[in-house]
Amino acid sequence: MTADNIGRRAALVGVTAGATLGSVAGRAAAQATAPGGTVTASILGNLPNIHPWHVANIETGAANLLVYSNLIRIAPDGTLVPDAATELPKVTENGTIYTFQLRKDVRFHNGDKMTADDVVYSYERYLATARRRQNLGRFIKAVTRQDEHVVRVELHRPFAGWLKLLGYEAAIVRKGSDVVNETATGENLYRGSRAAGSGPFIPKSFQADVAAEFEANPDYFGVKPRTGSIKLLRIPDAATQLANLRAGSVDIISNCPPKDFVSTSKMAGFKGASRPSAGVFYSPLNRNKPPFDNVHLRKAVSCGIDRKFICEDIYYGLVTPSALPAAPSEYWYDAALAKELDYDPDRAKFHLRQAGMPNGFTFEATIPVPSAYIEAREAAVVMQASLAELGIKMNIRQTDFISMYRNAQNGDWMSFPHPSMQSSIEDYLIFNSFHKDGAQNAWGKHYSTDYDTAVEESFQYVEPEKKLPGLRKVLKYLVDDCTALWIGRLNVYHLWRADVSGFEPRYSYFMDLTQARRG
Amino acid sequence: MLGFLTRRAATLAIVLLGASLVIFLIMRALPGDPAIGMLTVNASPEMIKELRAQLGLERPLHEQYLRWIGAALTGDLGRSFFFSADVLPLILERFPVTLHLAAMSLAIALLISVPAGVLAATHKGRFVDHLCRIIALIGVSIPVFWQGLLMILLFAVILGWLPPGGYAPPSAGLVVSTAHILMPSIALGTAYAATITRMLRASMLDVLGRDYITVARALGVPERAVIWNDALRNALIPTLTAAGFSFGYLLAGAVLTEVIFNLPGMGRLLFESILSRDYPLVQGVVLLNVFVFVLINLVMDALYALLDPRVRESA
Repeated sequence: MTADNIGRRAALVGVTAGATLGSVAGRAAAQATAPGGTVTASILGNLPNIHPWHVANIETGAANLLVYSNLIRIAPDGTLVPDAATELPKVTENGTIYTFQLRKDVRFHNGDKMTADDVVYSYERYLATARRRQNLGRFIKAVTRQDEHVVRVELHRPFAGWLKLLGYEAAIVRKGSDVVNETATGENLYRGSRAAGSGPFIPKSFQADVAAEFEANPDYFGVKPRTGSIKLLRIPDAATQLANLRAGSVDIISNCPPKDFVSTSKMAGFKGASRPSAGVFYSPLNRNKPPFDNVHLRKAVSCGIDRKFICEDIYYGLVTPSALPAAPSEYWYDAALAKELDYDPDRAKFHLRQAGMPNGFTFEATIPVPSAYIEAREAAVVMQASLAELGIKMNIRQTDFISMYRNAQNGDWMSFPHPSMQSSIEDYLIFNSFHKDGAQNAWGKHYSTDYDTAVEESFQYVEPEKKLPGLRKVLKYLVDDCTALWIGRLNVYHLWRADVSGFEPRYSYFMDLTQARRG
Repeated sequence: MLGFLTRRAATLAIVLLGASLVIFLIMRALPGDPAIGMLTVNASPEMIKELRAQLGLERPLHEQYLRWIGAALTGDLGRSFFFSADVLPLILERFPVTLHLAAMSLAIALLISVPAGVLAATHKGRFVDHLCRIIALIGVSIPVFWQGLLMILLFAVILGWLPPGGYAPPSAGLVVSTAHILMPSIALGTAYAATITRMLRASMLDVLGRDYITVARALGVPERAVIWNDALRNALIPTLTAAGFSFGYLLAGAVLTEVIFNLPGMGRLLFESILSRDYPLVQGVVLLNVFVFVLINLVMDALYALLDPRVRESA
């Protein structure tokens, strides 16, 4: 046998092995994605748990939507719809007491019927143990059982926005579920219990940071699931997510670079859609230390940033430019007020002169990386270039979210340009960030009785026309004070394979896979 | 030999203890706070303090360290703050993935580097030598994540031959498992192959210039036997060291490769745990990495002693 023979034989074996490997892998992939079987969605962020009220991020929220029910939920367009309740709650005239009538056909995954006792248990445990309890805990005074299917929620003060928070982070579990530890059966809410939820899917398997699988709940009280199972697969790199979508190993992806979204959504075999959301790209400004203790310098920065360029050239239209917290399409947007803070280099120069710094000044912008919203760094670089034309030097410091929060807690910061996902802007962000009782107000220590009164005035109502007078006062205050730098409102967007139906982006950012189906 | 191994094992224990202290202190010196990571933006200073107390982070540093190391000695590495799960099972879940990747990568690296290093050395200054050196240079220079992305694009997206990522254990079937691990192993293996090739070439050139090779050739020993039996065996000793250390580095986790190919291995776990300031998890993963690295070192020393009587005698 010659060396040539060995070489040819080795090559032949190699080619055959490669072909076999490719063929078998292809068959395995095809079996895994049989029509009507499993819908696989990839998520970019971590999935540390599927605990109903330790919602760490939008990924946990997506899992929670599958497993749990709530009194009400947020529809894809951002409106409130009843879930385990028969209808939206009845609210007393003073806006502090909400009464929910429960459906009688709701069953937990173990077959037990849901009653008011489960709701009361859940809310009590939620308020006592949830890591984000401060959100709802600030508003809920008491949750009481009226009868077997009626629950009453009393608030400390009028705040219609709590319903959106409710649909965002709390959920109902079966009474007696151990929400902290392993139960005697070994079930654990962190890793998904097969007996605690009442949502359209039942947890099947869970591997933290890797994947979670859910199987359809045949006894679900609402619209029945249209697929046998859902798999959430964590893929921590956006480019790899896209490759997996194109290769067919996932059906839906949660995130991708905006430019890839635009090109891929136009390709045959793929679909993409975006929707306005409650997310906002903004930068709090530290009014308690130089240079942003001077309102003119805050306004100079606001008027010095070309939002349109950032939104169109960096985000390909997936961020809607706005110099206000409200989006131009929203009922509480005020074009005249927006003009005062929008991109206008001459106005920016005017404010610099008013501040006694006609040649500009220097400040530091802390940018969190990695960011849930891709291209935050690129946007910051554009901001930097835009401001440099006015002589304003913006030094960018990159850090991770935890360090950023730590600096915020210590007051050691000037500005934090970052994307932020919210349950609602008008009801939550403006309260949380700038009201005296808002959690994030600890960053900037912003106190204004006028502002707080205007916020509370708008909070009494759910109806837009009733909320508007209060919200206009809020906007006027935010513009006059230029409390933050508003860049734009985030649109939520997803890409999926064309053979997937029943899926669309949601206002609240959580992927809603409850009706997704292949084929 | 036994004394040699005993002394090495004692060194291992001291290194582990030192490493545990260093990693414990480094984590505490990092900016940020696990309580903030768990409570996110809305936490008040009071809530952060309360959670820190619950997590035992308000205790004096020496007390925290002694509690942790004391429990670690009994096999209890603590509970992950971020994942709300015990650290040891989390690590044991991930370690097989990294071990699989490391073993495959090293195998690929050796499959490429040994023939390439020998060929380059035996054809010194000729086309084959230049070609091997250029390829090795490219291999060292190309970032693994870039190579990985290109491979995914070609083999998964365009050709559809291999899955674009994810992990399938050998229990899922050898073919499916190999299909999943092949691309990341090649991406990682080629980078290490480049280094080992260059090292082996230099080592071979050194050995080929030795007197006993000249004598072997003068005695009429066939060239193939001279190269593969006499020269390579001796040249492999320093290469073995490089390969051993490469394996140690690979086991410590190839973060970028694991992220790009979506492999749930140790590197990714460590990266996530650092981002979330998950002290028990970072400490557990690093401690295991140090243990594995030192253990490999010990095995290499033992192999040296086994292969080379001079080492054994001096020990």
